[in-house]
Amino acid sequence: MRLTATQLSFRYPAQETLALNGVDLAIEPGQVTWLTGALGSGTSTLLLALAGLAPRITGGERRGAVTSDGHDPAVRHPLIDGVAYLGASPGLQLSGVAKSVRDEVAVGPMNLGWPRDRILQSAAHAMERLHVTHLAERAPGALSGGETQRVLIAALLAASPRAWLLDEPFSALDRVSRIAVGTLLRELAREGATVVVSCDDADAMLDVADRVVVMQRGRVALDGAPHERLAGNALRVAGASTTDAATIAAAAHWDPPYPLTTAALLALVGDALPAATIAPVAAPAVDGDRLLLDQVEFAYKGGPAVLQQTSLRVGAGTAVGLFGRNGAGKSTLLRLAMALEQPSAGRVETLGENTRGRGPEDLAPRVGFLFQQPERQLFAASVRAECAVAPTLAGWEADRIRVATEQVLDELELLDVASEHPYDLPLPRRRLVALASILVTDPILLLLDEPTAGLDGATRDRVTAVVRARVGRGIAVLAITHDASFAHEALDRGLHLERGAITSDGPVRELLNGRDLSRPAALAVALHLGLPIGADRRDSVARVLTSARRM
Amino acid sequence: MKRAHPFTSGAIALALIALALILPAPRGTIALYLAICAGAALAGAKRAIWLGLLVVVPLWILLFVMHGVLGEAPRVAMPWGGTLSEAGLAWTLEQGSRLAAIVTTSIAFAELFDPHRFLQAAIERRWPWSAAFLLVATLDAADRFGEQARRLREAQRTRGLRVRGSLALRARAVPALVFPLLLASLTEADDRTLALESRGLTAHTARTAIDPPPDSILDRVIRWGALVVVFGVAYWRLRG
Repeated sequence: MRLTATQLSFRYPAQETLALNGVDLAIEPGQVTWLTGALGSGTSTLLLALAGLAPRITGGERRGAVTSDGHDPAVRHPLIDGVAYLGASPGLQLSGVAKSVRDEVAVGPMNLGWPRDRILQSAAHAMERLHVTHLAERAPGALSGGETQRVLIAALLAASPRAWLLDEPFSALDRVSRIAVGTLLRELAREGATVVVSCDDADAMLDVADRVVVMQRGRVALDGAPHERLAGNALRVAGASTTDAATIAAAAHWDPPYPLTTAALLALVGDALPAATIAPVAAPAVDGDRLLLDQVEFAYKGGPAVLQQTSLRVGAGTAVGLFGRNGAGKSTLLRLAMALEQPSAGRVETLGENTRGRGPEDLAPRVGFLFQQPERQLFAASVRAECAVAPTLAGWEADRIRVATEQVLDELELLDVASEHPYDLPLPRRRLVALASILVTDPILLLLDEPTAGLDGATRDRVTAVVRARVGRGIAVLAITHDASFAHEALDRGLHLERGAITSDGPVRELLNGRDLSRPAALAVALHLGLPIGADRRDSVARVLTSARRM
Repeated sequence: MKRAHPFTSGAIALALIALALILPAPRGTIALYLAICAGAALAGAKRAIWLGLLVVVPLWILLFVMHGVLGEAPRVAMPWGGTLSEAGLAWTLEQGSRLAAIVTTSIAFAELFDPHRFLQAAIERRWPWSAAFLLVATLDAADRFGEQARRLREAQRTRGLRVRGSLALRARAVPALVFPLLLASLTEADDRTLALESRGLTAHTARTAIDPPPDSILDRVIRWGALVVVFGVAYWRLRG
């Protein structure tokens, strides 16, 4: 299916600025086209317009033309027309009419009126390809974020669409699932499908995409082969994320073309600097328990055990990563730490207080909790008011609230939208608002569930800096993440959770071993050069590489 | 009842509501209400009885005050003193029992309703999809609203809002939830429309039922029986 946009402009209802501003683009079948750009660049809106959903469902005003195989998609239903669209927030994409995952996957073909046997066969095949067959009888609403995302992709696959329009399809996926979905997209393109992915994860897309289209302020700023475009400076200038390796090379003031993969970077580093042998590193010392789980067990009502004899401690001034496959029980562990759930056995102590019989309101505002999909949990009339909720409830004076609010909005670069309603912002910025609203009271323990999901590279760096600044002030952090780069840059220690039990505990760089979490380029170079913990992050590595070049 | 064909439980609910309107009150409607409560308990929808009472008791009190206490003469003396309107008391009993039967039946039906089975049955019978989906979405709205309220409440509690404890504390927390809940629900409805559209749920196509519930002879006998009973009672009432 050939998709085109000709002089396409789009404005959302009640918005002054254009989300798309004169886009000219032709997307051919048999390719994976990757849309990227800084926050608010228009990639998500372009997907909606190509799917025929904007403005038909979103409202707003469209100018110019969009076609799918020569027809205007706005007068057809996407799936009937062979177009699969998946939005950025997995929790909101479920049909609501299915009682099991199997039925959820079958919803599309059911609506297409296929014969029953074909539907069941197609659903079974799709579940197998996305490795969700074991979830077939589970209720769709009870899945983890990553499981939901895989089920939704399986649901689209079951309907055998000719065009795929996916908005951040990797945002909640673990490494293994990312690779599986990336491989699937390549296979679909090889089979002749048109695949368009809006994504900010350059490392995930580098070997998946045939073409990259970089958007900037609603326009196409750059268009070409990923390996060519990412190797230069133009992508970064346009505000889009590049690969980890290219980011380090650029930070080290190397000249383009930049190496795009860790292997290519290591090959260049190897020419300049010899490899070193590094001594094994010890886990950072835990100083004072901010969070303690002792032999904790937990199961949701009527469900299987989620946590089994789980023990951990998080000390002051440390940032701990909680890693593991989708559905391993990570979010549940965080909810227990915030007293949103009570353990069925064992003990949870947050800030030295046993959480039994307590609620999250007893821990706020000393503990900040960021939900997995916080964009659905905002409740004030403006961004500024949202940030003022926690300090107001804590009884702060108006002046102190004002100063703290402005400070945190400035830190997260949200001052330009401070007066806007949170729901008027795009999803990634809503997530930042949620983060700002918990940081404003300067909690001494931060519990963060996927804090960088769906954010662009620059914003991820900002969140990383925010976390490091707080760790430097003695604040403890426990963060769930599948973002290896964020884990390496922001966290000190890592815990690996598997089927409700902690299976590894050590310095985060030991867990970023390329199995469950990929190894970021900075870490690969640091290990190659024998740089110790503390000197293995991107800036330090870039400095070493810069000085090596000067030599 | 949960194993019955969805149209059977719907037919029974409609028949009970019709009977609540046409049976002689108060004796017939009180007997019907008691039968409905017993049936709901046996069908595993005990909660419907309590939820029904929660809805109708304030209405009973209102009816009693408006018609029993403030109603017109003739008035009857009460053993504990004072008088009540004779016609008003009768009206309160009549309408109160009808209301209780209708409300409890509706809640029990909603409690036992399985949207997936209903949609599958509707698809198999080629019922208009939009009407079937509208019914399901309406009956499901309370659950969705509750889920959204839970999410917002959790977010508010993690920021320090106290919603547990005394009645006054709980009452003070309500306004903090209501407006955001409405707004979040509206926003979520927008997002959900996008999702439904992209999954083909709003398309006008001939759908396939992948898991149609069995429609046994007993189901059909019950449905026809319900119709016969309603028409029989109506005929009997009109003749009488």
